Amino acid sequence: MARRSASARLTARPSRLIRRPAATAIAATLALLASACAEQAPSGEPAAEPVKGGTLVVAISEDPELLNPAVTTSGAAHTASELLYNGLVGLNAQGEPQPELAESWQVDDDGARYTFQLRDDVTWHDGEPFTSNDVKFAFEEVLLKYHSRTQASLGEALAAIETPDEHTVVFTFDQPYGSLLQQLDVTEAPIVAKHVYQGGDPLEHPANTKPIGTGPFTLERYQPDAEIRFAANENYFKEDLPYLDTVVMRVIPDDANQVVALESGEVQWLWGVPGPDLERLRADGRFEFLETGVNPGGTNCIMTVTFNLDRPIFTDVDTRRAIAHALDRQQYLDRVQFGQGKVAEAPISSGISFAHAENLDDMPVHDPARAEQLLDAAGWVREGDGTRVANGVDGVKDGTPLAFDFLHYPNFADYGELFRAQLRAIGAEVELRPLESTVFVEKVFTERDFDTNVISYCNGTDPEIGVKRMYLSSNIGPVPFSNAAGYRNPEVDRLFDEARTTIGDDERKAAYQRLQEAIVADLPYVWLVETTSTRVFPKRCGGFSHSGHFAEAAYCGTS
Amino acid sequence: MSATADVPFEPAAPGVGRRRGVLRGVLGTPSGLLGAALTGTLVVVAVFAPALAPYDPFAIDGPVLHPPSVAHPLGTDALGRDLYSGVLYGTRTSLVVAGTVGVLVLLIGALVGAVSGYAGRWADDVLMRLTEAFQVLPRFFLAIVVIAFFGPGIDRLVLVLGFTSWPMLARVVRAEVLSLKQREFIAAAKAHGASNVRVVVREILPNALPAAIALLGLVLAQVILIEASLGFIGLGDPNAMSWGYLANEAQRFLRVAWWLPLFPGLAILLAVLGLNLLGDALTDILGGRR
Repeated sequence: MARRSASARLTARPSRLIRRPAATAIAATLALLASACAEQAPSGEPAAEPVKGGTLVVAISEDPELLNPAVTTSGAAHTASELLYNGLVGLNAQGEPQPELAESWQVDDDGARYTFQLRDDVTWHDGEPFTSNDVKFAFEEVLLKYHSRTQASLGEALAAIETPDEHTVVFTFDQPYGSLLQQLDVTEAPIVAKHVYQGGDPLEHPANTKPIGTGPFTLERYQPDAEIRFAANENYFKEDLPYLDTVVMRVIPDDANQVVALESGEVQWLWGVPGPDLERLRADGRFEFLETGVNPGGTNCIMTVTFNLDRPIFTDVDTRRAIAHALDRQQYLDRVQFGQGKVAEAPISSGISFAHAENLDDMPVHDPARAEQLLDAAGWVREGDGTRVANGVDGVKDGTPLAFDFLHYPNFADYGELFRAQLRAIGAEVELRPLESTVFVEKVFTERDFDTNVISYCNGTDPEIGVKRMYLSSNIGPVPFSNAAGYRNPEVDRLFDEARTTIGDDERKAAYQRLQEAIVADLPYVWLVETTSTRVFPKRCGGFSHSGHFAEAAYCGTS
Repeated sequence: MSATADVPFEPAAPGVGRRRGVLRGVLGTPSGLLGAALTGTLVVVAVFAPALAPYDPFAIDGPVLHPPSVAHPLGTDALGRDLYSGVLYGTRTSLVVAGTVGVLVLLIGALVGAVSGYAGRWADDVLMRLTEAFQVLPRFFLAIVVIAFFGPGIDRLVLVLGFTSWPMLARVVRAEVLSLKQREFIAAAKAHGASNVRVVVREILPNALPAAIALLGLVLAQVILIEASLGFIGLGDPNAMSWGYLANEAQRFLRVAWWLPLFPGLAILLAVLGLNLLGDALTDILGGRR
């Protein structure tokens, strides 16, 4: 299976060389599966062997509307279209870059210049050869204009994309840019064909529903709101892949119906299982599970409580710290997530291992007694068992009750219920305000009319993608899911700049550690749980990857 | 004989004797008795919920998804909250909503019906067209829109349902007023120099309202259903425990925790059944069926 080694070219210039041993996504996936099996099947059943052929039916929740992952970050569109395309690099389960359309790369000038050597054996689904011109076109004309995450992260940093020859692409930055390789996979930067999209409006292009990609599968038929059929790409550049002949994605909007379809054998892959059903499916014995924080719609998500720092009651960091101490985060994991995920222990997800901080001393833990102490000291006094009232709190009129609202999406209602119950115990009264997504975004980011809220902030595969937006003072404003707290700390702004331009794993990790220490000292947010989804499939199938090309190396034996 | 045929027997203004008759009539039929018993229980539970409920309905300290047991007679939900306490407190919310809507409906319905029926002519035309306009308003849909727009809350729910549920009642009152105002005792009152307002308030309404009150039971049953349905589709007020809220919670656990949908559903069923039976019994006795 592993047949290619990344060839690395040495140059005379001082440079850092990144060499990846021949570890393909398949091997990584199999390793992951093996560990999952070890957990799930203590009897040590042999994992099914890859077999060629067969059909995999996948349940999807909604119609993708378009099959072009380069012009949108919609989870539905990415779920349905990533099999058709490739990125320059892939990411393995640990988030490390793997060769894909680029077979090797080289980083110069301390990270301000990346040179990618492209494979010369890749063809588009219509037979045209894939070249460096496609890469330049895909970035300049499509990704940097329409892919909101890539636009926000790369757009401002990238100086130029050059193509010295047909199989070489050079990315140049004004300043060192440490995280490029995390942003080139099929989710963040899928490469679309120049000869297909040239000259048209990429958003309205007919190819968005008749896609031509380089990926492991080609589109056979797309019936909106019903199903999407994919056929194996016979000329796929990864030898022997894909194993499956056909992948069918069937639209089944209701979670419960998806579970029924899985149990009846109608579908063989669910992207996620509703918590209450998980236990039952685990006990069933017919299924395998793959737990992951990587999703087509967002990766490494943390359920995060926001304090509106414009509100006088939250000006004092001790009040925020008291509230954080009142929250028993294990309960969110056990009672809301049904164990799918882990308690957050730092502002940056543990899924971004190179940036995630460990052992943050100031990270608040569940300690109601400490919470009550802090509130007493801050001037929130309690008479009897009731709600606390202000008595000498800076900027708050004496007699004001410690009462505030909590905005949430309707499907995060359970987070609100726990939040309210846990805070009632320390004498804070919470009013829940469930709001549909558009109203929520308007209230929180445009009007800033809220006290606290809960948001699933997806960190992405690099802090540049999904972490920075929450903290930079320049990101306070109407842009959805930017800096909801209204947090301003010039030191933190500076530390983000420093981390971005720091090259070298240890140095970068240290920079992010300093950054997270500064954030945790201020507590503009409380990080509750890192959520994961649980993919589920029958035992006779295997070889799945967590996201993106989830079925590239998948197979289904006969049961 | 023929000269007196179009002058029907004249009831006197309702008195104590007649009220006692109504009570005996309702309790005298099995369905009326059941309806009255269910509705009465509901009111008692609503009033004494804090005393009857063993736990705070929002407290999360119980075991998770525990079937009915001695400590938790109706089981617990996924967050560890006691369902029995939830159902008891839910009665309060449902009755508060139904009660306030009932008062609003009675006020608006009686006013519109009385003015329309007594004044007649253009006032009647205008008010009846208005009533028809309100009658065709899709009540449930309107409630959804208002709540989606302003966020869930009992106050706006009461207003929406109150301002859209009165047309039936107004029509019944109007019909009663139309027939009553031809009667001799009205003519007698007028002959004694009573003002129009006095005639309507003192003479006509007391005789027209029993039919309206009978109908009110049915309207309230619908209000309880709508409140529960809104809660069920997730538009209930999460800050007030209600049956619809509980039923909504239960949706995700239909296949793993049978007690979660069953008991709130039963509560809704019994409340609606009680109000319907009581309303029917009253209608039979007071002769208000339309």
